[in-house]
Amino acid sequence: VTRYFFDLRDGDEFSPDDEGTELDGVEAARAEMIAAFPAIAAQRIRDNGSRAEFEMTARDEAGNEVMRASRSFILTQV
Amino acid sequence: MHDHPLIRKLESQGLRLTDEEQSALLAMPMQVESLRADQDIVREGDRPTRSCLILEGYAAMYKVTPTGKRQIVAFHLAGDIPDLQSSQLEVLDTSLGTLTAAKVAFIRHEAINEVCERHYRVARALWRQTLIDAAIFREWVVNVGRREALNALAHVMCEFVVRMRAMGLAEDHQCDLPMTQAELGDALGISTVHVNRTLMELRAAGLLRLTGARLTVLDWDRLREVGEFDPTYLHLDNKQAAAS
Repeated sequence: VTRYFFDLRDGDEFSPDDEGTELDGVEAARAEMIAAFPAIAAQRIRDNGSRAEFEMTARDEAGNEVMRASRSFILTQV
Repeated sequence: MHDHPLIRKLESQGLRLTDEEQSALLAMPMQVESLRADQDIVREGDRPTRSCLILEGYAAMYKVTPTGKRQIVAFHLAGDIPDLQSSQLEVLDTSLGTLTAAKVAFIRHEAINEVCERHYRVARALWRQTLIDAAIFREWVVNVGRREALNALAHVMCEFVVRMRAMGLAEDHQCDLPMTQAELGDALGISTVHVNRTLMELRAAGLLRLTGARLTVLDWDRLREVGEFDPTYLHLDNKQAAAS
C-alpha cells in the first residue's frame, strides 16, 4: 500500500492534496485518476462556467510525480 | 430513552409503545452474535428465515454491479433491522455487511410475524420503520443523481449525525463516523480521491473536523445548508434533536 497525493490545478488556482489516499499500487492510482479527475473537473465546470483548464498530478510518498492528466473545457458561443 | 436499542429506535420514530407491546417485542427469542468488521451478514439472493437487529456497531446495505462496482444504499446503526423486509419478501434483493465490529441479534421471522399478529401497534411501528427506510432511499437517490459531491457528502454527514443523536449515540455535534473514505465513495457513487478532496473542502470551510473515526460538526447550520438537509424525511419524534 502506498499513499498517493493528487494535486489539482484549475487555471491559475493550485490546490494541493495535503492528506493523500492509501492505494494498492500504481494501477489503483491510475484507476483513481481516471475516476476522480474527470468527475472533479466536471463539477468545477458546472460551478464556474465556460472556460476551464485542469491538470491533476499524482505524487507518491517520496514526492515523485508518478502520473499526470489534463483536461480542458472551452465553450464558445457562436 | 429506553435501554434496549430496538425500543429506543421504534419510539424515536414517533410511536409510543405500551409496556405490554415493549415486553412482547423483547420476549422474541434473539440469537446474539458478535461479528467482525467487513463481514457479510446476508447476501443478495439469500432466502433468510430471520432478520438482523443491530445492537452495537455499524453496517451497510449494498449492491454490486456485474463489473464489481459497489453501491452502498444505506448505512445502519444500533436499533435498525436493515433486512426486516425479508420477513415478508422471500428472496433478498440486497446484501448487508458490517462496517465495524458489531453485535447483532438474529430474530426469526416467525417470531416477528407472531408479535405483529398479536399486537397491531407493533406491526405499525415496524411498518413505519420500513417506510422511513424507504424515505431515506429516496433522499439518497437525490444525493447520487442530482447533488454535487460537496452537497451530497454534507447531506450524508447531517443524516448520520441526526440518526445517531436520535439513538443517544451522539454528544452535541460529535459522534462516531465509522465509514472509510472508500465506503463514503461507494455511498455517493464517487471515487475515494473525490471523497478525500471533498472532505478537505468541508474541513477548510470550517464545517467539520475528523479525528480518526470521530466526527465533530463545527458549524451545524452551514453544514445543513451545504447538505440541503431537511430532516423531515426521517420522521423523528424529537424534532428538537433533528433541528438543533
